[in-house]
Amino acid sequence: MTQTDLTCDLHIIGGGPAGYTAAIYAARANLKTVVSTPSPLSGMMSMAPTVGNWPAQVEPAPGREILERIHDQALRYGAEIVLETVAGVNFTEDRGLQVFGGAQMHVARAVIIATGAMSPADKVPGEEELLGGGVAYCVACDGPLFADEDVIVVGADQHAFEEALALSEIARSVTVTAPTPELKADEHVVAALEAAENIAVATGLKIQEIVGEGGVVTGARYRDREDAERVIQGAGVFMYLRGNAPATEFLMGALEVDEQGYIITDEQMATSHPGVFAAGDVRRKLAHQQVIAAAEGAVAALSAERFIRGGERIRSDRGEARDRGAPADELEGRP
Amino acid sequence: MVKPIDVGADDFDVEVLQCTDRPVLVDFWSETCGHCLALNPQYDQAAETKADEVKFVKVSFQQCRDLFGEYGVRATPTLVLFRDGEEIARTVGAKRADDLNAWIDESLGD
Repeated sequence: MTQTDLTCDLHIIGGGPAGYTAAIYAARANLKTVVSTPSPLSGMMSMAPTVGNWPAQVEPAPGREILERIHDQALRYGAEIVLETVAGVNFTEDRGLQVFGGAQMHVARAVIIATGAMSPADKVPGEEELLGGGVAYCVACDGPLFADEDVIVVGADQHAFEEALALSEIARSVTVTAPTPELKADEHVVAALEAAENIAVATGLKIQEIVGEGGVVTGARYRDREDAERVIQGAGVFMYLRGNAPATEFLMGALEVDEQGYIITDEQMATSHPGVFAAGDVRRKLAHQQVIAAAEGAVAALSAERFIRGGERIRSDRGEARDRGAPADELEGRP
Repeated sequence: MVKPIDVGADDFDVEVLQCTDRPVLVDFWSETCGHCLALNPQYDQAAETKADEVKFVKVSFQQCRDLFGEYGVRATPTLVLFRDGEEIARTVGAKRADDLNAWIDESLGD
């Protein structure tokens, strides 16, 4: 692997408290750091209505508000944030640690998996059977296959709504269905959905089945809040419902996981593959808490720095040196 | 090293439908698809392993949109296995090389 093959020193997968805290530590240590995340603010913390146990947050605040500050702090120190869903990885010995995003391959010296525990929900009836016949999970991947057709987007988070907006540029019409009574997303996203001429939004609908004929999707069947049945027609159904299992399917067995899919690590957040670390809810732990996720992100970043630069001990954060403008040699621990 | 062959509309018949010396696996993929990129190294590895048994081919959406419609491909990556010009199996999504090889063996009845 040559220097020119690398796209960054550290690639972080996940834009929650673990991922962004890791990005802060890594960027402060002068590592070229990239974070891949489907939305700028992702995961459970972004959806928490109020958070009252975040240290220094005296008054409870929406999780999204706190996460936005962590996100901004990562940017302040020079981390790059790429909005994409990581579809897979290929951890090689000689060609670097490869991470496959929307339409690009990243190659890093070290990787931190911080993808949380909001894996795709269990499949609904018809979803497995009609896979390949109009069931989709990614607009960048499959949106063009539905050009000028009527499609459905099923989801309850901002990422689903952003995908719907992208799809509306390609499809004839997009029907967004959310199981929640109202859309939970940033105001500008909700406004864009409402303003789009070819997007219809239907809330309070719980999907029951994806229906089709001859192996091809024809629509989806729902129950509304009054338990009445409703069928929406569409040539494609883009699914973005989230469950509560660790989001590790994209690894395709590249790392050791436990019986429930949580990534196994040591106390330094090191996984079964050299140079790959994991932090946050994607690891099994006693308590899944946002501040614990952030702490693990910091440990993972410090461990990744040790892996990249060598050395026996994990160095403490060199942020003070960076803040006073120390030269690169000092930041990177070179004599 | 054996690599998959990129095929377009002009040579799909010759390379896939008229190939009778061994089965042909076609990866219908898209350049904007992360799952397709994730499959690439695994597909290359499987092609190397099964070079004597199966011909590995790739068809890009950006180059041959019509073929996607003709073969009813509605998701990427979609892998379609042909034998003597006829489709015998298909599967959707990225797979590890060893899982892909196992699927090929199962589909061929090996």
